[in-house]
Amino acid sequence: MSDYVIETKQLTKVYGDQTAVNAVNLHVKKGQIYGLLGRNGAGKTTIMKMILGLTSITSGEANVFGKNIKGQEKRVYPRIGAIIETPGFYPNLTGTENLEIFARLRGTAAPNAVKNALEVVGLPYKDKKLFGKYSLGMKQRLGIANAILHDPELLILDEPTNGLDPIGIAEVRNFIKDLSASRGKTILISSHILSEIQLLADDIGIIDHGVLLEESSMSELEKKNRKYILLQVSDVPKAALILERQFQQKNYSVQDDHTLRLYDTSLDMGAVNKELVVQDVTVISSGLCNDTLEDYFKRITGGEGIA
Amino acid sequence: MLNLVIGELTKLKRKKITICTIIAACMFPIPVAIMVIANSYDMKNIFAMLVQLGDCFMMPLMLGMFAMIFFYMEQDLDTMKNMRLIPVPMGKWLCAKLMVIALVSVIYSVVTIFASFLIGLVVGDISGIWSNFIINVLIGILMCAALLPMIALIINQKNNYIVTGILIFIFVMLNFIFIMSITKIPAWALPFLPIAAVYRFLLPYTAVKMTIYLEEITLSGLQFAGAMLCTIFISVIFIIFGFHKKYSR
Ligand SMILES: Nc1ncnc2c1ncn2[C@@H]1O[C@H](COP(=O)(O)OP(=O)(O)OP(=O)(O)O)[C@@H](O)[C@H]1O
Ligand SMILES: [Mg+2]
Repeated sequence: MSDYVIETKQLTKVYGDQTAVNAVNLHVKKGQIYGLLGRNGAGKTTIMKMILGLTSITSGEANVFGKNIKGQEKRVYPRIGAIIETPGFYPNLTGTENLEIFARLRGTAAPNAVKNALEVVGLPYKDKKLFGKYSLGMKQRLGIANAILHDPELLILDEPTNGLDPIGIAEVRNFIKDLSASRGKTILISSHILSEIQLLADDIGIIDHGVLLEESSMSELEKKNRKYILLQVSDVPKAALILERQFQQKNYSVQDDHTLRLYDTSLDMGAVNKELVVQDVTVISSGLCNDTLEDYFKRITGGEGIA
Repeated sequence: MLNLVIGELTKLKRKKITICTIIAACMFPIPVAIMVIANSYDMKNIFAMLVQLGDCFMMPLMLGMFAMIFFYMEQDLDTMKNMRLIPVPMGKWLCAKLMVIALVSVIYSVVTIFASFLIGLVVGDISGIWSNFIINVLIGILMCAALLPMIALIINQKNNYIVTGILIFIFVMLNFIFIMSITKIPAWALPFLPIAAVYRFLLPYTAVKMTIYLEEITLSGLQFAGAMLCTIFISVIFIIFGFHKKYSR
């Protein structure tokens, strides 16, 4: 019996000749917020759909609460609350009427469930406004309300802050944090917004083109990528040569014509600067810098980064 | 199960198609009334007209449009995932939807009877109102079965309102041709023309006057039961198959 609430093993999804999800091994720990970060089309939604059994798995497996969901839906679904992509509701009904249908069908929900859920997401109870007239942010909130209606242990939220304004995002972030911190819920959340995941998640999985590039705890990731030495010199190739020959430094990158990044922060910069000057390379500046996660994300995806 | 039916009924609240169905059911008797009064028909004529035009034409058409929207609703509004994640048992859900459609057909029959009664009052002939009532209830029940092929067709179509709408119209029209004509229907075709089959089975009770031609095309109980069982059997298989496909997509 593993400690993971969600665990996938070599999870793969192939659409036609496109591999949307490629051998992904996710590990979502109990009581933690796991942020799945990836750009549009990275495969976040597809992974969540496979975990929930909403779409077939091409190969590999996905376990929830240590079990394969297939055939166990009746027992496992009541323990999960989910929003997948856009929230789907009946536009001719009010938010309350919509939730009442689903609460009734669940049967297990507490008598005040609808009212409480609406309160959590900040929507009025028994309001006359029809879902069809809701703003995008209100729709999203109703989707979250529907996911927490039956007080599930596990929440799977696919881009829950999509369409919300900054204040709304902060609100949603706060109550998601609260659900985890004070009610011990396990949460798998996806986003294409790095800062969002950074503020929210305990663990992070970075996915790109269907491949899970990195999975680690947020704090570890921040530690690992935080520091580097930014070196500005007049002649980058020559400086690089000196670093490799004299200081055995291979862990560096060239940022532009005049800038180098050294990732070994234990390096004696006094000696380096001196040697560079001796060899006729002008040192414009050198100093310790903090890499942002965004830079890191850019580096490992080898792409444009993420907004 | 009851929760499912209540849920399905709630989903219809404030929906255009619900309002249209109700209005159509209530408005339809008006042109009939005008014709009746203009031609000074008696009760037998009124009832025959309501059965032919109302029960066998308007009702199947309206119910077809209604069923189409009703069965395509979840996919159109992307609420299928909410239903699946509860999870709603597929079989029960299908039954709940079919029950709502049966309910609409019953309401339609009641409106027809009520209309014939009202028109009868106006022209001063309400003879045989009770036997008409019983026959119309019978038609309502049999029509539920006769409309199963149409529902099978709707469920097995992609959510294309225009194509499905045309197919529904063709189905109802084909049946209606055989309701208005006195051509014999070959036995093999009967299961595919169930509305006409219901009409021809109950002909002795609805016709204004039984002629020798009408007697010839009236279906015997055995012929009728065979055809209907065949219809129900084929339709139910396709309905389950199609619903399962839509549900698990
Ligand atoms: N039903 C489908 N048929 C074919 N291809 C699909 C289907 N669903 C998704 N894909 C493809 O799989 C890939 C991953 O899609 P997915 O929706 O999982 O991405 P995502 O990370 O959720 O993106 P976004 O941030 O835009 O929501 C995409 O290239 C998409 O085109
Ligand atoms: Mg997505």
